[in-house]
Amino acid sequence: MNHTLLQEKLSAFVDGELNKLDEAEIKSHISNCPECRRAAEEYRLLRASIRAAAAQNLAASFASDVTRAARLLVDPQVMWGGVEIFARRLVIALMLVVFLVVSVDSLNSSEQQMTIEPGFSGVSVDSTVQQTLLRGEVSKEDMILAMMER
Amino acid sequence: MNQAHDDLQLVRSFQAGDEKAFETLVRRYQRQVANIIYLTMGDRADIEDLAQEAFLRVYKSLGRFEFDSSFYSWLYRIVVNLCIDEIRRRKIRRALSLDFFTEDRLEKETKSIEPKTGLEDVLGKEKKDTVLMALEKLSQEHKTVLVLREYNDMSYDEIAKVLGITPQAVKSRIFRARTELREFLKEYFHERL
Ligand SMILES: [Zn+2]
Repeated sequence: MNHTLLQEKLSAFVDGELNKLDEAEIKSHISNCPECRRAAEEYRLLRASIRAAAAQNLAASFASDVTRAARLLVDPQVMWGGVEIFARRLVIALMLVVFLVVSVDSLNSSEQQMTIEPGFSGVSVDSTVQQTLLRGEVSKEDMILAMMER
Repeated sequence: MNQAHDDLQLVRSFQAGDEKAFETLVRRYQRQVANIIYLTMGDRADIEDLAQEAFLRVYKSLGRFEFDSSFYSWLYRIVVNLCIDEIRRRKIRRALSLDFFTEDRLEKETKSIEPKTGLEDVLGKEKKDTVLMALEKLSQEHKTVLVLREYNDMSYDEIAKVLGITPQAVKSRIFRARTELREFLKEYFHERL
């Protein structure tokens, strides 16, 4: 038999993929052929080396993260449902803030008339509005709106 | 075999709407998937993104799984195809990049494509990466078949199903891949045997 063909059989032999007949043939060949004996040893070492190189793993949270990501991808409703609830709450919160600013502002406005600062066209930005603005709870537009209401 | 049977139970549960079953399958195979990607792509940096992409693909098509193979061979087919796509995509991207025609780039390209060159590189590197670097020099076909055999310990029949080729083709590809690797790793084997 052609030696290359035998070598291919040898490779399959190392993988336990030969039938009994071929197996017997390879076993007897190996005992007489140092070249094939060496090849078989190298195949085994190669296998061990590849397995040793493959020592990677993913984070413990990977499975739950990927499941969550998959759910969002396939069913965007899950995500939009969440966003919708969030958006609704945000609108209510903003309205509440605007309402508070406006009412506090109108309460203060009578006192404010007494202490008009020169050079500031009568409208002084009172501290409540300013603080709210600083805290980022209300947008500039909301503040202008609130001031116009007065 | 028990585990394979258990996998199919989990697939059934998932198809019946149990999301936890999917998570269990991911947990069960994430290490194997990570290592197939690592051995095929040759780079740790690729593992997480590609593994995530692979499992997202699994999630999308698991509903249509028809129980005509084991879950893992179906999963590995997805992972292997993903890696092949990614390598192809990168080759195209590299080919389109502006510095493609600079000499430096051309030289690097030839080195990584031509399997016979770069043996010095292999031997110059740290020992634990030697096999990985040699593996990288194999053609995509040879690399894939060898990873499924040596790392995943699959039979020729199983590999044939994953790759859509005959068991005879698996046998000869494995042999050719090994012959090539032995050539790259002469020194490595010499030191150890
Ligand atoms: Zn021989």
